[in-house]
Amino acid sequence: MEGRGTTIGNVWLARSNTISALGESTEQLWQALHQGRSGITATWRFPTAHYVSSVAAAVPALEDAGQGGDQSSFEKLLDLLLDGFGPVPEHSLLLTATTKGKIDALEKRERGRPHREADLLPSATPATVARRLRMESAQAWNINAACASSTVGVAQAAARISAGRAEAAVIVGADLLSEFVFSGFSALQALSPAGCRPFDRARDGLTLGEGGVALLLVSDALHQKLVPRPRVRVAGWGVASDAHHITAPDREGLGLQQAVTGALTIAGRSVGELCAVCAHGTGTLYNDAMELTAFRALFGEPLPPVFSIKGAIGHTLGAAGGIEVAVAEQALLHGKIPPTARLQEADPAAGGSVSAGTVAIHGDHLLTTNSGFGGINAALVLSRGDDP
Amino acid sequence: MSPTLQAAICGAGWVSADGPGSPTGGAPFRVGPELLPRIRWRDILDTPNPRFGRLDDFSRAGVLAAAKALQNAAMAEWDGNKRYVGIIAGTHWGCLASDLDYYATAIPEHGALASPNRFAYTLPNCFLGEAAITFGLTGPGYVLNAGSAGPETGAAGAILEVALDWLALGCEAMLAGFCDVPPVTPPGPGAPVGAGFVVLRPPTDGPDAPTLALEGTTWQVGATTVRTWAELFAALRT
Repeated sequence: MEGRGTTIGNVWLARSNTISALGESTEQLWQALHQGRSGITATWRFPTAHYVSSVAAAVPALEDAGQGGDQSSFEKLLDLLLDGFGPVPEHSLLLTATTKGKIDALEKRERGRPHREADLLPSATPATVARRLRMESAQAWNINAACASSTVGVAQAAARISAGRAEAAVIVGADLLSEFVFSGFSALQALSPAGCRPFDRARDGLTLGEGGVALLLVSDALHQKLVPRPRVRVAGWGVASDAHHITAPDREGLGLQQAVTGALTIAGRSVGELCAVCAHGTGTLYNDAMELTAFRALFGEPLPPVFSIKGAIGHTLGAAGGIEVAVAEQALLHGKIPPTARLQEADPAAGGSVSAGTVAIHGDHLLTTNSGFGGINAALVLSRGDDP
Repeated sequence: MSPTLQAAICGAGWVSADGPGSPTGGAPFRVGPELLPRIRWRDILDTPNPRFGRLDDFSRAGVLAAAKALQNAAMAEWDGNKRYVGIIAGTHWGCLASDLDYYATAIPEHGALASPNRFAYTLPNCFLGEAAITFGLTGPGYVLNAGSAGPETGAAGAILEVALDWLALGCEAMLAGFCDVPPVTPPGPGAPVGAGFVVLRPPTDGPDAPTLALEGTTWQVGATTVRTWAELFAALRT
């Protein structure tokens, strides 16, 4: 797929924060990942006796949030994520990325508990985030692209900044651990009973997590003002659909391949220049197989180092891609990728590219990928430093 | 001054209070609080769609409108080779109706009876996936929700701008529109019920088609300023 060449300027990652089962900052998450830790444990958030799994990766501070009053726990998640994120540049775009937003409001409503009716609307999330960030004058939008939502948000923001139609953008991705979603994935038989093991030979499903991410993307001009030295750019982006199935990926990964090719085209890079891949890696039989098939088609043999963080923090749905961007940034800056947590014996199809330990990487460009319901696929190329 | 963004409008279609329509025929676009009339797949296209019967009401409205738009753009038929065409939709209610239908199956027996088929449609972008499967569309497909209250507040313009972003990034065409089907007991004031899409191509791909242009902060169809989907569809109606 040829891009039509509307990119002009660089798009820099100026700031990030993450909330997950392994910490209330990107730094905490990064340290925990390299310790090989996993936040997947038994969940007491709701009864699980009738579900195929009883484990999840919950944020400890959210365990009792929202139980007493009518406020959604999502507000507490945003508090943890955005308090201290800092001021954002004037006239920044604001994009949120959540698949179910304040879903606990719907759960409370249907069970006759106090809730806020306005929280049932999709507009509730972007409106709340806008208030939190004091960006009420901004037109805030939520992107719903299933589990690729925050990745698509980054792509959309990057396209605007690169084309000179925006100077900055804030992307806030977040999703709660909810019985609504847990029950659904259980009904689909998609949950791992004991906890996900991405790219493992014996993987048997995904594990849900909860979390949030806030990313500030800026233009070259703002970057020079905000950040002391060049760090990591969003160099390329691509989004494509499988047009195959609503809940299962195209086994050949054609949509993912198309998204990756699009991202590389915009970045002006070849697959050989990618030093690692932060994969979607949910731990389901089909997603991980699809990704490995797509990566082999793109890279040939051998694959570059591939990792997934979902064995560490679960699948955080709308937040997943954005959290992975924050981790990928750290990977480029530190020259190493974290272990793929909970990996015991890698799928032979991975060809030795996935590791249960930290792996040094050598290069300036890293690929992140995400896929989701509806057949959506999104890919980003992150690059360290200036464009040579 | 040259327009900031520009595209050719190669087709449009909608399902609204008086039924399906397009700029060249069928019912005019009229949205109100009343529910949509029952529309069958064969009211739009002769080609069978075996998936249509299993869709929830929100997805049906969206897929029907997309089908009508593609038909109007002479793109509904395809030869099996998928096309890098995307679809971006705005929605006020999202899939809330589908969420409530699904959760009603998850409450009894502590989730033992939760319906996987209903759960599959509890993301508002899934109907875009259905349209993608039916018509072989491999471009970006996702939903945007405005943060401000009200279904038409700046919504059309933002959706159109995103669609033009993707045209500039290499999509052959983009569908841009909206889909709104409220739940039976909506949480808040009534919103227009219906769905509609325009089919956009790069200006050079549709030299004889009406032109959509962003002039400063104002959207124009030819010489007509449009601010809402209703105004846009009316401007196309011949």
